[in-house]
Amino acid sequence: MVSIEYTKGSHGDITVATKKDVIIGRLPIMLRSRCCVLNLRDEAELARLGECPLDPGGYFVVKGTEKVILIQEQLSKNRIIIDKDSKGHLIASVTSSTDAIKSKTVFILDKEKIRVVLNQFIKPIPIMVIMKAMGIESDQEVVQMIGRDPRYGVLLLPSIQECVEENVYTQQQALEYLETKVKRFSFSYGSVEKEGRALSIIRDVFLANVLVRDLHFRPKCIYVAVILRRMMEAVLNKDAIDDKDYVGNKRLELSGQMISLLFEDLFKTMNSEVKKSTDNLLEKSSRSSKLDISQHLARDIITHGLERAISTGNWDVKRFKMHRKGMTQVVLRLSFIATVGHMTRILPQFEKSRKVSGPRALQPSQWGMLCPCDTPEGEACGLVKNLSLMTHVTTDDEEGPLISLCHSLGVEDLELLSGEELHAPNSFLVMFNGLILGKHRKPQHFATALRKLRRAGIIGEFVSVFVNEKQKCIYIASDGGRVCRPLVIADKGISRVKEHHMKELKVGIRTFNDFLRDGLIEYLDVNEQNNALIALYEGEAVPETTHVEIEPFTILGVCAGLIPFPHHNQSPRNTYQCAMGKQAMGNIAYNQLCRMDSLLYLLVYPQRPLLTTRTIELVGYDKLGAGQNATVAVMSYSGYDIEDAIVMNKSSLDRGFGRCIVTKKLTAINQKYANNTMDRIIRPQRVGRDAERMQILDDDGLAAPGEIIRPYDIYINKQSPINKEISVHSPAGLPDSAYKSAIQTYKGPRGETAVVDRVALTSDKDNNLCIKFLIRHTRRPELGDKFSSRHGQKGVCGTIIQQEDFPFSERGICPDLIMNPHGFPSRMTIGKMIELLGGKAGVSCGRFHYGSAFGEPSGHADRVEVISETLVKHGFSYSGKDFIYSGITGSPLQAYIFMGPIYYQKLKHMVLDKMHARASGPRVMLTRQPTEGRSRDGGLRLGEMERDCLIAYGASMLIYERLMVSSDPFEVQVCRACGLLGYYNYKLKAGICSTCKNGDNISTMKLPYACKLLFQELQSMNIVPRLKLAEA
Amino acid sequence: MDGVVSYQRFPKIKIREVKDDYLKFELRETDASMANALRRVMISEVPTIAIDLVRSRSTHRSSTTSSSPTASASSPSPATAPCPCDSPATATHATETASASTAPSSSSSPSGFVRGIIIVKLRRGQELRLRAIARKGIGKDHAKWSPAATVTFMYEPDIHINEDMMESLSLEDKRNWIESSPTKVFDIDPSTHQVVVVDPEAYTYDDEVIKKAEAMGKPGLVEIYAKETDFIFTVESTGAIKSSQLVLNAIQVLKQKLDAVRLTEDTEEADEQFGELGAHMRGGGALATIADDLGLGLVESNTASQGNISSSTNQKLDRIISMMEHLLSSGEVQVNPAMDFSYPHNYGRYKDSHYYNVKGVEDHLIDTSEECEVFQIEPEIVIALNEGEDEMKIDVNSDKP
Repeated sequence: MVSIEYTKGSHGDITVATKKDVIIGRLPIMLRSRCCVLNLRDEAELARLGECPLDPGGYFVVKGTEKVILIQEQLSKNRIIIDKDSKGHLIASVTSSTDAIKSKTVFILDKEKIRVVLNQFIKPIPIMVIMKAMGIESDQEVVQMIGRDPRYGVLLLPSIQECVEENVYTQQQALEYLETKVKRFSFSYGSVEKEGRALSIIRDVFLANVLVRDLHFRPKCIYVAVILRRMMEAVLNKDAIDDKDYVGNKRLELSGQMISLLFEDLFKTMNSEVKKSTDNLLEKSSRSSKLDISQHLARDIITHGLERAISTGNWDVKRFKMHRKGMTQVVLRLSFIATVGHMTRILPQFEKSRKVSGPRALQPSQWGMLCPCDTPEGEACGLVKNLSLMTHVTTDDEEGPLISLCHSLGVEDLELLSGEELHAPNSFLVMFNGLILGKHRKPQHFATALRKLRRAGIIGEFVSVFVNEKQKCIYIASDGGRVCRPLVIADKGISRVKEHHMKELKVGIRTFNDFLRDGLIEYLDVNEQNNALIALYEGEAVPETTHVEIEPFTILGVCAGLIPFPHHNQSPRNTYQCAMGKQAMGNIAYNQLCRMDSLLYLLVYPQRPLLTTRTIELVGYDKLGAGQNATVAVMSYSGYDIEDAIVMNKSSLDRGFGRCIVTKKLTAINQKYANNTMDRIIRPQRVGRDAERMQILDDDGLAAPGEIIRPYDIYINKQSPINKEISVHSPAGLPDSAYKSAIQTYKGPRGETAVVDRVALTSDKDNNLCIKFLIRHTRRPELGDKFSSRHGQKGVCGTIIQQEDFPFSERGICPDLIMNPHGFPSRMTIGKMIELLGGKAGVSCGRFHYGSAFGEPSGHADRVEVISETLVKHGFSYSGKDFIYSGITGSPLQAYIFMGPIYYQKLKHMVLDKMHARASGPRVMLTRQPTEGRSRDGGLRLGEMERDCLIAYGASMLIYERLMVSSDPFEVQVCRACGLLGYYNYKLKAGICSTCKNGDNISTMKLPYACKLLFQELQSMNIVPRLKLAEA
Repeated sequence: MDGVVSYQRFPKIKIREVKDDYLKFELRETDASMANALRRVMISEVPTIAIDLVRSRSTHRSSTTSSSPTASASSPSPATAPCPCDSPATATHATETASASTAPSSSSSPSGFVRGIIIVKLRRGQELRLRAIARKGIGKDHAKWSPAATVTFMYEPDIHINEDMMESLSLEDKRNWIESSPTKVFDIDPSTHQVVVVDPEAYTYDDEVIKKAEAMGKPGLVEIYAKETDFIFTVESTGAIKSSQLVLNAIQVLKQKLDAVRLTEDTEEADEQFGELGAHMRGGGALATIADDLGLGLVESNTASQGNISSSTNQKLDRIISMMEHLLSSGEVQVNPAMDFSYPHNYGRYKDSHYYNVKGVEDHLIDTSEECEVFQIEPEIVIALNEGEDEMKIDVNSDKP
């Protein structure tokens, strides 16, 4: 990052020196952003740069890893939210956030009294005290400001009484009262301006978003009055309570905001660092040269701070006391769709442990903004969300011009209004980004005027104008983080987008931005949608309609958009598919073979789905698919297909169905040491003990690309010096004896032939030679590998059967896999059936069929009737069922079989990576029990519950065998006299008790080594475990 | 056994259509077990030659990564998987690679040159050097050895229209009824307005017409049965063997299998010492297991028609053999004499070597020891596209084995 820096110089004569292009730090750049070199490159240019044109960008590359800063969901700042707390008290809360301070003010209605909770006060403060402290000493004025409705007065009465009880009548008294309630810090520095404490809190912390200039408290008072009015409304009418989960009350924080927050903090620390270092320098009496501040700029603070934050995901902003973890994640590169899906992920504001259902439930206001399908299962269900296809998240827009525009459009300034006038009937309050701007007498007129200006492009396209009839408010928002989406504008139910517009779009004369500029399309945020009547299709529009949806399928996100006919499926199935689509193997990017991922799953022959959707085309899934079109017969076969298992055709597997490549990266570093010595890589031995294991090595001591690598093969013949600390005068001249072998061996599944794909020589951050090996392993599907269709129907391969045993039709069609029909009734995935039909029709007529969500009326999805007609035209049954012969007997099957192509995904879970069994094997040093876990070739644990079963059953010998003989048997010498463990003296060939110093009463027995260990540990803690032996 | 009426049948074969890679024939007067056995053998047990081991050697000027993962080097099997079974080992593989590299400009390929499947595309200046070893094998082992692209049969439908009832229908109704069939089985005679069966084989046993008739209130309007003794076979070859040869080879293989069965039957007397087990084995069990092993589903249907199986095993086997032999002979008799069986196979320039290898296959067909003979045909295929060169120079030094 380059910036211009001002430096002042010299002692007596102060000159202002300017330095241009001073680097104060470097900032990671988001890929494909405006600053990125890849921005606005066309496909050919990207290809030349070795980049994939379909890559979505939006992530950062930090320390060699791709990191996304996830979108953070938050409750909107500076807005009044009326809610109920856990005890059922009515609450109005405002989370204020300004440049200087963040604070939360809560108004609570407890036993009819309204109080204010603020962190700086030790207990809730009666509201009237606050009002008085702000200079409104007359109760009548408060009542007037809230509104003249007698019911409000009644509700406020207890609060007024409470204030009287506290003997607070004047501003002075109120401030004194508050002073007693201010939280004392242990070492009070407040005594300096004791009188000011309460006032400054009221001024700066209480509702910090309402700025107070020169103790001019009136705007804040009116703001409080509005809050009180809304609370009282909520008391009288339950509907007035706000919904916290309403998307309009939420803001999404994007990476830009996150980084700017962090940058600001780091920049300030850098400034203070500079100050500190210059102070230190100035303190020194003897300075040789003149002070030049620019020399003392620590550019590392910003660079490292940002780098660390992005690579660890820990956001620590000192100023706002923000400590957030897990803000960034490594970009998922499991499949292309996983990557794209990862960019649209929204992380929740709450911790996941909350058991409340509210925030997890599907919100009607999510419509079109957040995908209703794409959410994980389990603990984060409903909390982690994803953006829909056309969602746009706003960024901050300048406020000043908008405010002055509002005033010129007839908003009456707050300053000029009395309390009485504030809530005059027929006038609406105008709220701008949470601030009260004033009021307007003709709200609709004002709103339409603003909207016209927006459509004309005079004000920003993301400014939202929302008239709330219930609250008698007009909300204008230009703040960042609101979600909005484009809609076609309709005048009196007639869409503004005409056919000639669409033609121009197709030809390429017009772009989306032209539509926006010409006022045919506009962005609406969640709040403004409430003022619109949106027709799903142009034909359904009525005269009141204000907008028409662009396409209904855009309410789904990227992951859900892959599902054909999702609107025919049971909804959880779509959710399951959203999770599974991310595990499907396929292509990652066009440059996938040039990448050096630590683990990469690729499909050998990925296909484009026969049944596509518009989303697939928009996203590019048709170019980087993750699956294959398999001919599926829905029937039961062999019994190896129960419980969702799949029967597969061996010939299909031979021909490449479901075949995948797994590449793993192995890294070796040629380390340099402090004493100038370094590792060395030497020529492999061609004869001798290790020759066989070194077969794949080239003469340079590294495994050669193209060689088949087997377990225990050496892939780098490295040696490291024995002496790494003491300095050596001639590091190069070390004898061979000064080195010890540091070979690295390949550990992989036995009997598999992996291949060294590539060897790359690079250097790491300490300038060591770093050698990376890419090991490629091609796998064909085997028993137990996991597959899934695009409808949340996963299953493992149950058996693989020869083609001649497979059923066949008289056309010679033989399915690739057989799926059990029991998968359908309970799952209700009708979409899968339609996919089969559509795929079959597509295959026979040679046209890709479409199955976009809700696409039938607009022609983005083929209707079943049409598909059936196509089938009949090509000689199939309209129902997609075929007459099938058994491959074993050759006689026809009794039923017609539903058969056709379905797009199947191979999921990353493969048996080869999971299977594990052992008889005897490695043991843990400490306890001498078998190791744990597959990676260590561990044993399978017979746990407590299993042990309980065996006890209950009375299988004592089995318990003995499992728990001791097969685990950690150990022979000990026990002294019958003292009951402690002795040892066996091999010289005397007798057991000796070290406590009794003799071997008179020694017995030999077996016990688990862990038990012996326990005894010894107890002894070390001064507890004597004595064994009392009885004759057996 | 004496007193048993001979149900011996003599299957007939009639070839309808024959092309190099396509054959349609009728198999009559036999049953599903027979037809299915033939089908199964054609798919999985007719041996061919296919490239089994591929070893690609150093690639010049780092011909990108394509050399490794996708193409030949990606372990032997996937390399051959996309080129299912090339019996003319050297030649076809050579052509395939050649076509692979020439893919963008087909100008070099002469007319009649059969393009193979693309294995790898090469860029200008890249070359690929690989050693491919072809082996003889069967489809059971790997689909690349399967010579059959499509082998399927159907029962010949037997369609009886109840003419009286049909006449009671109006022309409109008749038309509707005909329309109800997804395939064009029936039509209306334009002169007589009678419903006629145009193409019984187009019928896919979908029951649509029967359902339609019932819906029209005329059950029994048409009766359709599958003739359980007559089959119509469709055989498509992958190009490894000519389709007609495929059928003939399949019958040969089947015959050998049956010989093996007979052999075990002969030696069975020696197995007396097995006592009860032996008796049990003889009693149908043996045949069942053997037949099962062979992939013949013939036991069931025969049991039904024949009764006591233990005594007539031999007899039946003989009958099957004779049936087979008959089939074979009749098949040969009925081959259209106009069809050319010699090998003017237009696989382009590699005619000779190609012919040679195929001959090899035939030679080896006779002795089917379980082991596969390895044909060490090692063509050195060097494909290089030099700078400024648009056409390929292919250089195949195929040393004949």
